[in-house]
Amino acid sequence: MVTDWLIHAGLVALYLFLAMVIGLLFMGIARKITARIQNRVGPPIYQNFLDLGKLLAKKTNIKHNWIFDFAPLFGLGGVLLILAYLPMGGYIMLSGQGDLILLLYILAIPALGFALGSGASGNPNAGVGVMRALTLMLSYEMPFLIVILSLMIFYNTASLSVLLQKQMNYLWGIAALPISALAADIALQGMMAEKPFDIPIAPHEIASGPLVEFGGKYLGLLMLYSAGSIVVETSLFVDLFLGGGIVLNPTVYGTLAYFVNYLVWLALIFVVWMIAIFVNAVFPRFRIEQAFKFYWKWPTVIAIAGLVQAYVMSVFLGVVP
Amino acid sequence: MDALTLFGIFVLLPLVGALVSYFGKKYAPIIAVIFTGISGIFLYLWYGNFGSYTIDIGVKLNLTFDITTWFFMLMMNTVIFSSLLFSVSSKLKRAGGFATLMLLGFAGANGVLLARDFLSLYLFWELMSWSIYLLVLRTSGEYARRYLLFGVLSAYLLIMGIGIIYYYTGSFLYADALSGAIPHAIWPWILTFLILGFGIKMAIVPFHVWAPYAYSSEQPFVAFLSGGLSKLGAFGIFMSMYSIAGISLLQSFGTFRGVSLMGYPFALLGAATAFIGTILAIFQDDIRKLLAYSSIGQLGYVMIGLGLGTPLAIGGAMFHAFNHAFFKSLLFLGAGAVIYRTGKYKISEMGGLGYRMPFTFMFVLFAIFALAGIPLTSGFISKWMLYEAAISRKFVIVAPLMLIASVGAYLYSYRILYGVFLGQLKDEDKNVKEAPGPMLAAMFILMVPLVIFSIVPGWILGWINKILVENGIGKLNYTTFSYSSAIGGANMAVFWIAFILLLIFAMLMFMAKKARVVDQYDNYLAGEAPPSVALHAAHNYYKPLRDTWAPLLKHSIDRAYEKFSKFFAGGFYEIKRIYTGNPQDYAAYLGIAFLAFLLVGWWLLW
Repeated sequence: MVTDWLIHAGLVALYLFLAMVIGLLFMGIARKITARIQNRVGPPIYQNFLDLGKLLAKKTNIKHNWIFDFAPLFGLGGVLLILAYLPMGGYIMLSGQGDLILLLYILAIPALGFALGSGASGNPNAGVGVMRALTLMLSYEMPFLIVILSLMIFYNTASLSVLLQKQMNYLWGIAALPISALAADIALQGMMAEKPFDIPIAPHEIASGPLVEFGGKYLGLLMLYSAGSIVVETSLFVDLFLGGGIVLNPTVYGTLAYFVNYLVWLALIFVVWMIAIFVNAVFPRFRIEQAFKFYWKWPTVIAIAGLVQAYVMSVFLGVVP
Repeated sequence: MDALTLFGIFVLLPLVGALVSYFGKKYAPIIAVIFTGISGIFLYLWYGNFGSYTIDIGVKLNLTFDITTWFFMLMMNTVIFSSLLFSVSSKLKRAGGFATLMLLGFAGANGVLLARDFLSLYLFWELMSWSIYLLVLRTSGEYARRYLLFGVLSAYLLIMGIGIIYYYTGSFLYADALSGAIPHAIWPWILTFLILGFGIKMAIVPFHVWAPYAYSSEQPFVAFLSGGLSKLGAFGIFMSMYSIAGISLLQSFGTFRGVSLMGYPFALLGAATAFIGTILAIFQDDIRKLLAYSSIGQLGYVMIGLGLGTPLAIGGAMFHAFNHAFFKSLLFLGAGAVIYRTGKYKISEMGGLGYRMPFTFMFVLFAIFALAGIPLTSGFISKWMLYEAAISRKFVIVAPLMLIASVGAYLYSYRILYGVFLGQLKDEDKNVKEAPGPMLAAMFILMVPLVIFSIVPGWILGWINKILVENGIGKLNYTTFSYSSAIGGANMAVFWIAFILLLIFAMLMFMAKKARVVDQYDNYLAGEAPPSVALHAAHNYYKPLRDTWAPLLKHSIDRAYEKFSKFFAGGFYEIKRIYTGNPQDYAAYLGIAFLAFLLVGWWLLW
């Protein structure tokens, strides 16, 4: 019993560590690819590891007050908590102990901690940045929540682990609910705050917004937070629509299945991340009110169409996945 | 225990306290705290000591002390205790009158909760309602009139419902309503009148317009009004739908996927309330108005749960009412502490107070966690129950409105946190001190249950489950640490252990290097060096969002009512013009009236 728990905890720690490494690597790859699209050379793909090492090793660290510390603490702790509740490569970790709604609300913990810390810096740019981030959140959550609702109605479950199981046995979400998947991917662009929705951090307008006052270890830990967030957001899409990358049934193939599924999952989140990066590389930035109007118009209409599809299929046609 | 003891402790004792504290001068709040404390102690002692007592004094009256009453009394008592404790140090003008009216309201509220007959319900309801009116009147006659208008409307609607029941049954007892004397077709009217009458106290859209004004009165009172008394609306709706009418009667009006058609429209109304209240709260700059609209929105959630009427939904509504009682009164008291120390109401004029009032900030932060539904407090669990109740029955209109309103709650929550407690400290607030001890104690008392019930939700779910079972609604699925629905579930013990372990890990990484503290003006401004410009970016905080909503915000229910009243006032002005002051005109009116009567009488007799 106790050894089981310890093995489980050790595996979770390993997955969390790998997620952080993947996140940092993805950031590096994104920088390289964006540079190549824009006809620059770009930094090497391991650049973000060097940056992280440098930031964490800095001797001078500056803070404004005790609330300022909330940002790195809740940012890093919270993002690890989300990752622990998110199945990665079919390994469900804690997500048997908490469903999608819990996950949606845990998603707010690091964001809120970050917002508290940056608000406490007293820099007006940070205040404006958080305002934009929250407005953007209200914008993209409208289609995203409707999409999640369609999934929950169609698969008749709120639990991520059950959702993965049903996708494995029936059809992946993207095949069953393609319209919702489209809306979800548009919402994902805003959730990742990539162009055209990088309004909250807009480096040329508000000096990186919420991040403006952080430096040294604070920035280092927040870099880990954003690395984790990349994995969280891409993996959320993969878990919801791409079956979590499960191609081999773990009950049949055992450890091999976990290994293969992990690689498939990695490939899938890479694809999702690349879509976001390609869009990011060629688009200019919306203003925040444009983003709000955009999200509450087209993606919401698409999401509602997806909801209608899910509703008709599950209620009127009686499709039971 | 008999009826008199019950009545004595929960109704007469506060009334005596009201009398005593009137003469207490500046000690009045302390006296009132002691009286509420005594009835609170009895409330804790008498848990499980339930009973129902019918008294015949010409008409049959009934007092019942059961788990439902106990649960609501628990909120009521804790909230008024903390509010009065808060008012001990808030130096109110005419504190004697304040404490007296608060205790009168408390006695009325307890009476409403104990009553199981319409006569005493109505009497105590009016006692409560009028003491609120007088308490609002202490701040502003205009606000009080607005409250009074809706208070009277609520009373009329209740009287209509009660009157119809009495007409058919000839008895005031709740229990007699279901005896079969009332025709089936009449029930929808009764229920609509009662639900709307009670719903006005919950500030359900479109009857919410009194709330932002009434909630701008003295904070300790508003904490009790929003946290405690507004729950009487929820209690009343619960009683009329699930105790007086009962679930089988509701189901007999037809169902929509297992939800009564009598309840579903009210769930929709609740969803609209949650959405509208939240959107309006985002744009408020006055902290009291912001909290008022937030309160409207949150009670919309309670309405949704009561309307849907599945065990999970009603359980969620009860739990959310409980959470709301605690976190909203905590927020009002926190706002009260800030207003007490700075004398300002506008969020944009404050800023940086979290560094000067760290404890107030922490308490408010926990309340905000509960409001936003962060799982670190029990606020999450009640929202979870309501969502799962809606989603598991596939309600595609109610669920998205609830979910998006909850995201909107992040926006206004952060407006409070940033505008009041974070950002730059103003020069004139440099010497602001932490709130006085009693205020902190009051806020602490309200914070404790929010955290406890997040770790051990099984305790409170046990009480709620008892309420549901006793009223024949069904039961919840829960253990000490976890809870589940047909489609999902969560375990709070796992959550807390994972959270604490990962937070410790983050802290270890964080503690590795020391940091130097710098001044708030020592920050990056892209080379600009403004000498004395206000750099607290809290003025018109959500301006871009407000601009996009402007075409919709033009239409306001508030203004619609005002136009309505102006129309009538104009009409009355026209009617007034018949008083010309000329005796010949009056003689002519008399002649015309005589002729009219003659004609009508003639026609009637023919």
